[in-house]
Amino acid sequence: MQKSKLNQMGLSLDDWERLAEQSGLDITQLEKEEIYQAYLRVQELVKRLDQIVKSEAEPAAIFLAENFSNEQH
Amino acid sequence: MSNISASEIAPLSVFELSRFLAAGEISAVEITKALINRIEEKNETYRAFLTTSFELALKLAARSDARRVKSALLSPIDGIPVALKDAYDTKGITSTVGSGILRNRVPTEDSAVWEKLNQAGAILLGKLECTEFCLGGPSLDAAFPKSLNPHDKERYTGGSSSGAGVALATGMVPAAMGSDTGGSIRIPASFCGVSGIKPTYGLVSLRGLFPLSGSLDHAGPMARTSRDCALLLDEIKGFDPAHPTSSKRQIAPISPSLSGDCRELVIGHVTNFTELEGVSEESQAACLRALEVFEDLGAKIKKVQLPSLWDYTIANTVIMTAEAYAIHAERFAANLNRVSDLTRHRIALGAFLTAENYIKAQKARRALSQKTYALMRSHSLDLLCYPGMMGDPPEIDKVGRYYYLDWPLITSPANLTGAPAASVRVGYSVANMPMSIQLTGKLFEDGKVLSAAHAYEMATPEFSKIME
Repeated sequence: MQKSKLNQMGLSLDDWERLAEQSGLDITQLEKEEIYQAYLRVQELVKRLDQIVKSEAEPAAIFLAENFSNEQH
Repeated sequence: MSNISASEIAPLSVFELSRFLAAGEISAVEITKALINRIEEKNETYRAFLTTSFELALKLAARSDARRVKSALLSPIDGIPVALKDAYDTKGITSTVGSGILRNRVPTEDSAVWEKLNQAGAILLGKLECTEFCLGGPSLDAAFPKSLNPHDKERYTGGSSSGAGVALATGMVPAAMGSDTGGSIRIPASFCGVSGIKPTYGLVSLRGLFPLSGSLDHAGPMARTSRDCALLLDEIKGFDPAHPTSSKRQIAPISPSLSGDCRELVIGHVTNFTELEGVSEESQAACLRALEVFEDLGAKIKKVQLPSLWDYTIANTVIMTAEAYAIHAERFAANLNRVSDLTRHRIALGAFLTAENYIKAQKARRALSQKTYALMRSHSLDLLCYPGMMGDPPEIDKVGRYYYLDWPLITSPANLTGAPAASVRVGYSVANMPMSIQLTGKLFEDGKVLSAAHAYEMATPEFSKIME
């Protein structure tokens, strides 16, 4: 794995391994490598979204009280 | 006794079949028997059906004929055979979602879609192959054999509603139900040369459709014409209080108001989905030719630019992957080695996405939706038009694990914005594969989308055929 790329994202190799372990998924080392490449690519692309939304933009998940009533749901 | 032979039935549309039924020239039982023969003839090669329900189909067909005699038809599609993507629950009939893990899963309730189609008098021929858990494909190592593209068996059918595309293209059914989270109706419709619409988000209830991503899942019809899609959509749409994403907003029936008239239509030609974003020149040229047809039909065309396809793609991908992982986490923890390679990789990626990624993607969804609809308003557009796919269907063994991270997904804008979006076939490529455009509209204007698609198809009948 590219340690330098992980470091750029503030992730150490240990962090990545920890994420993989936390997932509870029984993935092979090869699969970890492949998913890791996809993960890097996702993080690279997600950076584009900083141009579209500010972090303080309105909440992503909207909960509107008017959609609920005092009746039982 | 029918005036129409069994071999003549396969290419007929829902609209044509309903006319022949109404005129008494054929019975629902005769249509059903002819299609059963067709399925028995073609399915071994093309593998569109996972499960057939022929006994039930013949019973339903007989009841339809009895209603016809009494002039007590349930709907315009009473007596029409349909098949459902195997992600739709059907009470008492196996519903595997394309996965070996669920090969013995038999729902105890019908999905909302089948409930409505059944109430409309449709005839269920069976359940259609789909890629595992509706996540792209092609999962060549999945538990069930992969359906094959009749235009070229070495090329991908598109997914995840793959069996639906194939069954329609080969004349096994006139109507099918698919679902679409990142393009899973429109991609197989395009690659197999048939029609399909991803309706407005929430227009069709998702109850009983196995979820991939609740924020992005859409249920919708596939057929060989957009008029047929309208007939089906009219029967399946409507508010369902039992599902939280179901929209309370109703729309008027679509099929009675379909016309070939495009004179009031303003179509935005999206000009920035080009080879820079992976769209082939051939696909772009096909889109231009289609727009010329719309101009001849009286539509006004305006050139517009949307945000980059990558913006839509990454927001869609993050939301879909995170939500899919949340749905499958427990199942995968226990069964990962029983899941196909592609599905395993694609869903497992969700375990590594952060809450920040997901929230950013949801915020971007709102921002991109606002931009898209603001652009349509400012230009007074009824529809947007752009190429249906990036290019020819890839060879079946060359679809990358994360192909949507190599090149953007041209189907993603309409999933993200919830807009109604139809795949409309527009001819054949140099490689003799079907090509399409996407027509997308404003929320709840599914009628305008299908009306325009219908007008185009009426003007270009040469593109309508089934594969023998």
